[in-house]
Amino acid sequence: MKERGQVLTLDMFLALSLTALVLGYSGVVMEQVHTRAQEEVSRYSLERVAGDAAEALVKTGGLPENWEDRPSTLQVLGLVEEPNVLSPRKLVYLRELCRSENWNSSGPEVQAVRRLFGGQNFEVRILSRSLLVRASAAGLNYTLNTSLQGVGVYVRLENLGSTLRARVRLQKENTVKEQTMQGKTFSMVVSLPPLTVEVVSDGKTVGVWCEGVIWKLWPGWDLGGTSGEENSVEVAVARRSLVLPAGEVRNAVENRRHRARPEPYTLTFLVRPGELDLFDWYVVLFPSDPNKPATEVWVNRPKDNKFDYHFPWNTLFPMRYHGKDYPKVPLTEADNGGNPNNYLTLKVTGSPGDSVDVGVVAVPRCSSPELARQAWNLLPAILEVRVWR
Amino acid sequence: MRERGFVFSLDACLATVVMMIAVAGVAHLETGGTPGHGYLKLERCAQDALSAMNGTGVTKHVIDSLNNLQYSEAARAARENLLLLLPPGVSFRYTVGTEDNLLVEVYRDNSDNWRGRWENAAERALAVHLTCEFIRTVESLDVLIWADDPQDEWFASQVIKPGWTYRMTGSENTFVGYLEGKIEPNWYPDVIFLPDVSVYWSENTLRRVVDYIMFKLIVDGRERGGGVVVGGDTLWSNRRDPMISTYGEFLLMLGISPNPFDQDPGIERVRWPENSSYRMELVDLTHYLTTGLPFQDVPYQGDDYYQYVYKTSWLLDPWLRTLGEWENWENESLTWPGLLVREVVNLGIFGFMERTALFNVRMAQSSSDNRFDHVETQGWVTLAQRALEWVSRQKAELQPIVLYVWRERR
Repeated sequence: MKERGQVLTLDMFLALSLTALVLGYSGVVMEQVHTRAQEEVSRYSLERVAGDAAEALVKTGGLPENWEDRPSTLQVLGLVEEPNVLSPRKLVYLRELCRSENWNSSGPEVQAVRRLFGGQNFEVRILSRSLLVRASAAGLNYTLNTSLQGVGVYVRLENLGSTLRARVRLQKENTVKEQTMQGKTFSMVVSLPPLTVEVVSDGKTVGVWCEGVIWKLWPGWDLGGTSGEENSVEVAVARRSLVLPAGEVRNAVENRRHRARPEPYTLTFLVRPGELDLFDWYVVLFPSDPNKPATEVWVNRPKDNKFDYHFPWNTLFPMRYHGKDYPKVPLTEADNGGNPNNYLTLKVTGSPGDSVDVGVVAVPRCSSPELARQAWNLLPAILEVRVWR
Repeated sequence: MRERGFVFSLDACLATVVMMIAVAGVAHLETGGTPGHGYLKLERCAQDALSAMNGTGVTKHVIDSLNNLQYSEAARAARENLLLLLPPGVSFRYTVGTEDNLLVEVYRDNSDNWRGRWENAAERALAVHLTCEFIRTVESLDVLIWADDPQDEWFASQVIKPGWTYRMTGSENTFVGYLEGKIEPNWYPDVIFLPDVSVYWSENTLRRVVDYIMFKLIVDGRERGGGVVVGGDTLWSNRRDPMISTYGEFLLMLGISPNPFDQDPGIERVRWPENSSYRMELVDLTHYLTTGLPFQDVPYQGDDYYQYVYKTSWLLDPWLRTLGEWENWENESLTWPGLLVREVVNLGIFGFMERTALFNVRMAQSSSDNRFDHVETQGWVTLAQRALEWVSRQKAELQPIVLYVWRERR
């Protein structure tokens, strides 16, 4: 028998091959695992930053609690009056802080905001959400044609027998977004800023939700354009439900009605120093009848022959919108020792059976005027935090 | 002998298997990834939804609807708002009340095998909220009172609180007319108070009362009903064969055993020995009726007025609570139930039994007795007021609101 050296045996060859294979594969796998782990940790940390920032924003008023009175004292950012009830005032002051000219990285208040978002890029949005329709799939035949936040919305839902078909069309000026989906179970999202329509079918029911952006802010939002998150490969989003007081009612009077000798009524209200340009200011009327009683309003002046506003022309009057004054005598934010520094003069005429409620409302600057009318209500809303590298 | 190579040996095979397991493990590690924090998101989602429902007044609306017995309205409001507040991919189950006594139960879609779906969910979370809104003063309770003698009328007048409306009658036709909405269509009782019925009611009147407790009365095309507070002679005066009359059902409603083999099914009438001054002792101070009261003993003129010894029904035992007891002077080792309350019983397709409270004494007669002072009377009046509030469900115990949320496994 011819005896070859032990190193050249088939066994040895196979063992070496196997070992090399295993080592090689392990190396590749370990590298993949390492990369994957890094990605996961990075992703997880980003999501955690977004989630924890959203938690702090919707559960606390910040530190100090009244930081909006002196924003330079801000240590920890918070946006609510009480858990899950948004403070429009805090939001307004955060928006002010994020203006390009105020976003100074060396400022302690800016550092406090950056700390909350882990030093990452961020965008905060407040969205309204509504359920447009939820219907059974059986015999489904539904059409919606309306306008929401300046966007034309057309929704058509049909049961075609074996499948369901949903069609959504959004139109704003010359831009049109349209999508059709067919099947038993599906989910479809159509978006045309500031509106997003989502259709979800689980085979038995079809629901159509609509989301609209009410406010959004990021460092330098006033420069226009977008926050830049669309250019990032990794964006973490955290969404939290909360309650939204759409605006602040600065003062209101109920049941004003015509008396035998109508004396003008004076409704005083306060505009704190520095607030004039942070909010839009409205007079809101709630008459008992669509056309009655006739109501005349003068701003910061007594009754004369030329009123500033008159109902039944309208029920929502801007006193200052987008920094522009509308009444003859503009609003003032002059310090009056904490006492009211502005007033309305009201004159109501008509049948004593008709009455009108009048309120002065402040909503964050450049908001939709419709929010002013809803300032007395608490609306369900969503706070969305977007964080990216 | 031919020697095979090492590669074909058992050791080599085992080594290869171990190696393959190790490689598979590493490969699995590679594909597995790290778990996300979906649970945290879901939990926050559920807590936010309940907080937002509180903030927008939806929870209060749900509770008010339940207090007004508008169950479908409560379910509608809860479902529509949860659909709005929770993301589309999240399934939910929303309940008000304890699991053995759910006042409302709402799902995103259907309720088929919800527990199985919950247990097999990819991610799940729970949010709990206590309904402090249930504890509020009842300002406008509507009470229908049966009073067939001056003592009943006097006692009822003491029990009625400011702001409550009541209709008092000792006529069967009028009594039934109120229940059927024929006398005042716009007035309907939240609760019936029978302090001491001394009249042998017709079968029809008994049936109306039982239907009221079971929500079978049709008024304005709707099933209407409510709770009943019973005391005094009511059961004794109306005793009859429980097998052939509504009386058996009436006894059961109050938690009493309608044993047809007893001469007086479920009831025995006793009077205390002369010159004794026995009192009912409140033995369960954790119930709405008895909690926080400044007294624990309630005196009774038992040597002048009867009291009744009831045999409770084992069938309804899980829903019954004995809040007050009497010392049994015939057999000291046993006590007699004095104040018996029954919680709501949901019988599914067989119906619904609203709350009842049963006093075993003629408290109206004893309370108006001139040997009683004001303080002693007040004990019975307070208990009767609380009983009316409790059976009306306008003022109830804290009820938990629980929101289960989960994502289905794909």
